[in-house]
Amino acid sequence: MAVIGTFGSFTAARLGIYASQSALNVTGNNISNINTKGYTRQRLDLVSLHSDGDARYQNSYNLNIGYGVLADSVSQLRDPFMDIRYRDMNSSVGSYEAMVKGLDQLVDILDEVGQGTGEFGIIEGAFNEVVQMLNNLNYRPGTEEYDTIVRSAMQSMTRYFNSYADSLAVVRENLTQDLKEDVESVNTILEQIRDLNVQIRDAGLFGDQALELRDARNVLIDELSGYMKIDVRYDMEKIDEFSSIERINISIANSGTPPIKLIQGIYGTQLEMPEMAALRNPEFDPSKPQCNKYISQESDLAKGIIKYTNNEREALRDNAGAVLNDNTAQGRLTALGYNGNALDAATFYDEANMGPYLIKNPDGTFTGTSDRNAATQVDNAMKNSEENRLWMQLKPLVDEQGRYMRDQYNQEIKETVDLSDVQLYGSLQSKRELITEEGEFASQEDIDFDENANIKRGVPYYQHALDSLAQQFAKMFNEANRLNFDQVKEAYVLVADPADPNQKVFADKDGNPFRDPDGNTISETYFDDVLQQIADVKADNTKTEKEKMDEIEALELEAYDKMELLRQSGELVPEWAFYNGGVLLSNKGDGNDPTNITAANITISKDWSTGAVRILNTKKPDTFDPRNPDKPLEHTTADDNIYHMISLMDQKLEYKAGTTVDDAKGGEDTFFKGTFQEMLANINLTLAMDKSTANGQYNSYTQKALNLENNRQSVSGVDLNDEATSMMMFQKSYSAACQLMTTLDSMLDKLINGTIR
Amino acid sequence: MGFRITTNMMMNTYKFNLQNNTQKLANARDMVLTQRNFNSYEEDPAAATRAFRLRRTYTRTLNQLNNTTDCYSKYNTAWNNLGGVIDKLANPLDKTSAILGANGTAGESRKALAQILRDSADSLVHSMNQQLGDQFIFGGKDGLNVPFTWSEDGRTLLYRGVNVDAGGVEKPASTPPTWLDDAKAAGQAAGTWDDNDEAWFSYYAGTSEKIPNSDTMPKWAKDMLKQTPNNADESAWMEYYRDRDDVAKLKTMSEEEMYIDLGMGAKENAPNDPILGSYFNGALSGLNFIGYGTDKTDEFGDSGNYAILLKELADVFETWDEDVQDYNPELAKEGSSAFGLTKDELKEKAFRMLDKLKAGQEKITENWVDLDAQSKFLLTNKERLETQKTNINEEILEVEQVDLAEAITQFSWEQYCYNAALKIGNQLLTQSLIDYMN
Repeated sequence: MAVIGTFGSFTAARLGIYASQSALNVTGNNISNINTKGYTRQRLDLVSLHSDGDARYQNSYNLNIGYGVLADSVSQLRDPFMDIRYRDMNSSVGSYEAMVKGLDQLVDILDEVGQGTGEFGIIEGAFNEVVQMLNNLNYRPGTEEYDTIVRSAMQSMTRYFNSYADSLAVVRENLTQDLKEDVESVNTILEQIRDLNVQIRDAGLFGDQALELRDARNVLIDELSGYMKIDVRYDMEKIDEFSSIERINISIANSGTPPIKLIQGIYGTQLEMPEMAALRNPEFDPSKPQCNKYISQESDLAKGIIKYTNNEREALRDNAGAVLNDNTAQGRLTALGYNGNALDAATFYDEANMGPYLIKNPDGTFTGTSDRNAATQVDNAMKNSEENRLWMQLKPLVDEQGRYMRDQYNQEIKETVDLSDVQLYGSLQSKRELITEEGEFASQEDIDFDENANIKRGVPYYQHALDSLAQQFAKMFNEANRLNFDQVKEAYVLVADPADPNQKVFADKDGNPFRDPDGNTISETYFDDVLQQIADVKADNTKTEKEKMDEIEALELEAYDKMELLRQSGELVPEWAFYNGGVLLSNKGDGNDPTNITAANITISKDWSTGAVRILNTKKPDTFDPRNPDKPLEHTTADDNIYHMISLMDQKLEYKAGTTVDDAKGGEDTFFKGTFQEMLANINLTLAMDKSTANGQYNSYTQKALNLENNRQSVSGVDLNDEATSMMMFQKSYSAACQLMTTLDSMLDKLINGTIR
Repeated sequence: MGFRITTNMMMNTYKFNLQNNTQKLANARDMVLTQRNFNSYEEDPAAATRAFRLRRTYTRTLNQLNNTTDCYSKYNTAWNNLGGVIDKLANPLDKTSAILGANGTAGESRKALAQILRDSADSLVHSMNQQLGDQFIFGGKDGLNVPFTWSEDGRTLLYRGVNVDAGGVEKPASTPPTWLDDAKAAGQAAGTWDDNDEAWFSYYAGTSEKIPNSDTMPKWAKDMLKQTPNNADESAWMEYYRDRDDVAKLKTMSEEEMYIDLGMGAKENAPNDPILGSYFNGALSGLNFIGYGTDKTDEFGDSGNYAILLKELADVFETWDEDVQDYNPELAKEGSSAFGLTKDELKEKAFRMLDKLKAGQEKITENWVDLDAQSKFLLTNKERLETQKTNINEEILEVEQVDLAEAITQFSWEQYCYNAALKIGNQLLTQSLIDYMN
């Protein structure tokens, strides 16, 4: 357009002033926000104001001159690809940071370098002490003071074991608490993001870019990415026929198609880690379709109207692609083949076995079910429970009013989504693994849930390894301090069996046949039979190694039980009258029960602490003297058994996972062979290697994350030099526009005031 | 880095690098303060493992050193004891040989000599019963009980309750009872008869002179020896069997072992069965020093025990009649070993006893010298262990201890770097264009 009128030029000047002033404001905003976390530098978008229309009356002398500058909008300079890369890296940083911190706590407990008297270590030093005291006793067998000294040394050692085990349990509990707090933090973040989304969406509906709100949202998403690995995508949400608005979708990375959603626009989920959770079925295969699970609650079978979500519809296709039909008679769905005939239920999935949850039957078997509420509940995040599985689940997505999200068929999505053992990656997953992973002690079930379960080591692994060491120590010393099975019938007085005079049974102190609490006698050949049975089991090739281990353990347990009863109530023959052996280490201070010993409960047995049992000096009986059958020739200073105990301390023993954790997969394999002290060193070395690896990874990822953050800052960060240049620029343009204004003013003044007198 | 470098980017990178410097400074400081090369397994797993291994070896060496010292004091005491005994015995023996060699002229000394010989025997046994602390040195595996005791009449010497003269009972001429055969039949019927049972069977039957170890005595043998004999024949056989049993016991007791770890690689074949040569035998059995059993080299059936021989010689000398200047059998007391012998027999016995005593004295001296050799071995072992201990100590220090000069130098360097970093930081972050605008 040509003519803008006399005063039209003022417009351009005015617009120029306004634009410069706005730009200066934007610059000022940038400078004052230089240290705001997550702030993206803003830029004033200026467009030239012009008119594209044609004049009603053509004029060949028209000049198309622009009308000035318009401040169009303020926009952000941000590279979304950088964000994606940064958040990926941040999840790794979060993951390794949590691991390093957790392993640090373990190192504080288990690492003994530079500690203890003379820097010999604490439990290491205690072992050395025991050997030293045994050597002292070896030179002076039969002296009670030296036996007491050995006992004190062993007592110190058991106390150290107890204290380590207790500390490990405390660490586990603290980590669980930490994880719960992290879940709360994640939920707070998710809620805040969702609320921000509502505000941003509202602002967007009114045409406002809401840049600051977006920055705040980005900060929250960055924080969330440290907890778990996420995917952030933007799409357009249709408002009505003509307009759509940008919507953000946050889902868990690598969670398949369709992905597991955390935030979808104004709908957000909450992470849950309930105290009790439904027992999951490790063999459940979600790729197989399931009938009956997804019948919507609102479905009205009587009316024949069935409403499904799109997930359900997909799930209703069987492997052959056939679509299910409803069977109103049973209230279940049956599959129809393409020819219209019903498919055999067996070709379908079998809910009793394949349901996602399990019900534990009274007889110990399991049945599958899809009803989460009917499944057996197990400890998930209970205080002080060793069985916590720490499964997480996501609540259905809701908006800030609590309304459920609807699918494309307008059905409300109300299902809780279970997160598997491997779907998360980030600090949440690292903490979960630290609290639950058992390494070599993992059971088949653990491996079904996570195929790498037997190479990941968390606090439970170290607890079990320490238990393994305590058990082995107790077992070897208890065995050494008791009669061998083939010596029992030589050591105790026998009488005729009342049931069969040709056989003999063990006698009690009054000379009558000894009866155990069930009233049974113990036959003379009982212990020899046990030895034979053990040999048979070992030779039996039809059994697996694990079965053999368990059977031999059971046989030995029963035999040792009977030996203990005999020790208390049987009568020793004169050649064995010196025998004062028995259980040295038990699982309770006021008892003599050597079963189920762990690092937390290992202690000196009651009889040893009262002196009823002592370290057995020798396993060779006194020499029979026919002239004095009741007074054999003594061996008061024989020391072969003490010497044996000393050499036990340096004997290489095999450690098998199955002895400590019953259902460990590969429990019959030896995972370590070495002396007691070498086993302790091995535990520490494993921990050191794990920590060292985690540390290295953490440092490397932190460095990379820093680089990526710098790259981000390079695009979206405020640079004072930049802003200073802008300031100078806009100051100049402001002065120029003002100058234009005054020039125009003086021009018009000339025209108006100076032309007509 | 992008083409644009903002203030915050520089700040972030600076903070990160400064933190690294601070960490290095802290580590260097720790090294100087703790004087250790590493403070956890993670810092240097190999060195930490090695350090603990060395410390284990160190404590084991200390234990072996203590054991060596203890054993040495026992052997040294034993050696001193025996030395004294040998000295004390030399005098009476010389006198005896002088008397006997001088053809009976110094008569009145014989009776006095008899008393001296008796006292020597008592003193010998007394020395054998010496204690070190509360353990009897020569008691073998029974160190808490007195090893040698005299019977009430002072004529029988018992070692831990067993007559040291065992082996003197002859096999009776009558047919043996069926005890042995019954036991064998029962064992074979039950299928439990093995090589050990066979060895004991032949030993008791007298067909084999290979003495089994009395620790392996089977149950049937114990039952057999416990029986009460019904008649004189059975009693005679029972005496014979019991005597065989005593011989076995004495032999076993003379071979007893106490296992001490002195650093020769203590290992076991099976539980309670150490490998020969990997331990030191700390047990001393008095039987080995003063002899036991019956002398089978001649037909007289003399004792093999030195103290008994001394007493028997004393008995012979007590029959010396000063008036006649010859042996008088009527002077022999009832119950003495000289009772019932003729004059010639007495004379002959005196010379025989002297020869045996001289031979015995040589044997005791031999054993005494052997004790000395063992003691010397223990001393050498002690020196070896001391050297080993020192070496291990040095190795531990080498692995664990930091060279203080090096550590302090390192610490100074880290401190310098840290200060430089701080200075740069100060200058890095101040300038921007805004400072130069007017």
